[in-house]
Amino acid sequence: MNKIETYNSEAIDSILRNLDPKLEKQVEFRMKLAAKIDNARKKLGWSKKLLAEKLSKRPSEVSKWLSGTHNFTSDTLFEIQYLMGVELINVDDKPKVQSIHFSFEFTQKEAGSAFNYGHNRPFDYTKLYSKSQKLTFQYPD
Amino acid sequence: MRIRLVKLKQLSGERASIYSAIYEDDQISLFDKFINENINSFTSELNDIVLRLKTIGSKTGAREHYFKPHEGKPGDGVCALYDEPRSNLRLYCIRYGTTLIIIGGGGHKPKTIKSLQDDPKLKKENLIIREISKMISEKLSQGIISFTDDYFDFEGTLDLNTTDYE
Repeated sequence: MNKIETYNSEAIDSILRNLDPKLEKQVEFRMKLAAKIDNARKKLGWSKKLLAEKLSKRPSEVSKWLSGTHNFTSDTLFEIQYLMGVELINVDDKPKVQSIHFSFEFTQKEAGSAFNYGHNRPFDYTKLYSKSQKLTFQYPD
Repeated sequence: MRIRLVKLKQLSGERASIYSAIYEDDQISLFDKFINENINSFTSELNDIVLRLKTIGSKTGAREHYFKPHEGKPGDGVCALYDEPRSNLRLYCIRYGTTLIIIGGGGHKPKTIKSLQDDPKLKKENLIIREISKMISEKLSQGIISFTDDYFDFEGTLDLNTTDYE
């Protein structure tokens, strides 16, 4: 089996070395935003054409949005998140409170050796504990 | 003309592997040639292309919506990294799902022609990437090369014989 040849590009290195790290983060942000919109579209079962129709845009405009290169206005982001029910920007000051209610049950097994406590009677017993508890988390804390 | 596939170290990452190709008489990849040809005229656009490819490799994977599909024959995976009508550069690729892409060359998009295929440079680069796709498809069907189990890489002989478009 041939080994994959890894290629170290001086041209790419030269570009990456001289770039502002902020620009890298900005590109990453745009691409992740596009991915988030596309994930929401898929979750709703909408085609790109249908998304364009619902927003009264041309399909080419939606393709541009999803390309990861587009610089959205806040109004466009609002329109998309309002229509699709996905949070793209959060402008609320108040922390988001999320309540999680759960119950659990566990079995605890304790085992000791015959030499514990200086006698020859080994002990090995199982106790069942059941508890129900409600916890509330606040995010961010 | 022989050409071999290579994995680009600086652009490949946890989400996708990014390959290019090198002609046997060359020292640098098709993508490096693309950089060298355009770095002086379209610096910021080229920086953006490199950063998008790096983000694809390390953060997002090669999601379909980052590309312009159907730049080759039906089903051959030939596409272009998305470019706006008013942008200056076109870069041709072959996309194999979200985990593996091959980037070839491309060039300046002239504003005066109706179809990009009418530009000799872009036409040549498009034919090269189509030819690479065709050779890979043949070698995959012959079992000479295959994908790794995670679909991030090729296995096998990555030397291809292609038509000379130089």
